[in-house]
Amino acid sequence: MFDPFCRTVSRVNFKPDLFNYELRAEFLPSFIGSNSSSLSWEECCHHRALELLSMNRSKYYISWSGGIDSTVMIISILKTWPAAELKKICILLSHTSVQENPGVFDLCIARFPLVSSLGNVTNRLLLGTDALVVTGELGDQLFGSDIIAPAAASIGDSVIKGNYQDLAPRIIDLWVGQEGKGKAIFEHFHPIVEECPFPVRTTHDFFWWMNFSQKWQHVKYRFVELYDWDLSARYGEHILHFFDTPAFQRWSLDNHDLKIRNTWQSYKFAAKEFIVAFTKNKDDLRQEKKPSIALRHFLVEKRLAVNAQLKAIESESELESYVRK
Amino acid sequence: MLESKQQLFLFTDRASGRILKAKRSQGLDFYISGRDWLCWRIDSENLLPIKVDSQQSWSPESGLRNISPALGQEEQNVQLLQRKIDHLLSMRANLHVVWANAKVNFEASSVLTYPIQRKNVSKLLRLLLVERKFLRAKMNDFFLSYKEIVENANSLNQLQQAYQRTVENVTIGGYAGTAREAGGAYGKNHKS
Repeated sequence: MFDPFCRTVSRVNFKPDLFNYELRAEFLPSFIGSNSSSLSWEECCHHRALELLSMNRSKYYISWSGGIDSTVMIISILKTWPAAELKKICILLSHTSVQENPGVFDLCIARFPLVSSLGNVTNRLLLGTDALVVTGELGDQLFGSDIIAPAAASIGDSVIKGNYQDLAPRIIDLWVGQEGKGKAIFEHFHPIVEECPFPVRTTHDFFWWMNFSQKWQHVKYRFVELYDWDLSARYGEHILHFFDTPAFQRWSLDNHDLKIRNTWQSYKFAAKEFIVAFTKNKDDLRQEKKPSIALRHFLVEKRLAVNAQLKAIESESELESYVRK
Repeated sequence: MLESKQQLFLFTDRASGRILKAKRSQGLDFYISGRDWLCWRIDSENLLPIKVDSQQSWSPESGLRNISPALGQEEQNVQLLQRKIDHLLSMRANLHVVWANAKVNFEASSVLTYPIQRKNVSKLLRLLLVERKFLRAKMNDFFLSYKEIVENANSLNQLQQAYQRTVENVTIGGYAGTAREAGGAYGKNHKS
């Protein structure tokens, strides 16, 4: 199967997963039924920034791609942390981050020490210290899915609010780049709509729910894929994702109308408005959504798989024992 | 006529193609292009102009995605490596652009590829020096892997041709120095 459909880990009762995974994220039927409080986007950002500060680490490496999610993260911190605490921050970035958003580089980033994100950060910066890497991962899962982007570009923005049952197979075809593959993939995942807290009607509804309910865990842990990531560096202790909180997930469930309007350019408009309120640069509202996965993920060799004990799986025969029957 | 090792850079308007300026240089190791203009390089060994448009940036669409699982593992590996090498080459060009902007174009008041404030340029340059080191090491890794895969697949003409194309691209097609960066011996062992 094609990426990312081969890497999904279901957070609902219906399990289209290809492997037997241990769920290490919120199980959505329980989470949806819980009484977690519903905060505004600004409140979610503020609370998360305060939470990071209260961890009182000696050093924070904030990973900035130049994109919308990681810019929200750095602005949340700038708005919340006292000046003295900002001295604990270093920025992990590459030249592509600056290329994507030079204005934010000048305004928010260049004041901090800069560290190249292309090299291996774990051994050198994290192990044996109390330093923490904070990333903008999981922002995409809150808002929707990049899968729609190629279809919006080639067919038009009308696909965003079009009927998902008619359009989803074609959208998947365009994403994977092969005609005729989308139908089977769509049918494989289609039953997840039964567990969405509201009726799924549009392609945006469907692909957001798929990303939120099926891909969350893969994105949360994909940093362990990279060969140069030392597996003794752990999530929660050495690395955290800014958007990995119950409050942000509740926001995503309760504010479906704040994710996109009728154009692909409006995607993530709540986050963009948060950025513009700080930068005063209305061009940021028009910032095009770029694929979020880091260049490093493309260039660095990847492990075949990692098991629940964070031990690398070295061979395909070992991997076969995890295949769902 | 240009002297040996001397290069001529022509700067042309991106829209009209009009020549904006020409610069003769020896040992200039970067290419330059901006938002509104392009740079063409002419050197003594290759008198054809080489268009270097450094505005490409990496994206998963041209990366991991769209490699058909229907291909054999060996062919998938080759495709993936080819794409990685392509991206390293375009990144190399991007790095040169920034280098050029910082060292040359502030004075020339040209449109900047990276319109950042002048006070922040030195920070960006320090980052770029680290990245260049990383890229050189990665380039070396990728070329060695590529060579190994292809040499183990001698019966496959297609792979041999792909290998040949890549070698020609990096040694002839405007990126002189890449093969040297890729490990020296690799260039010497190449049979054309």
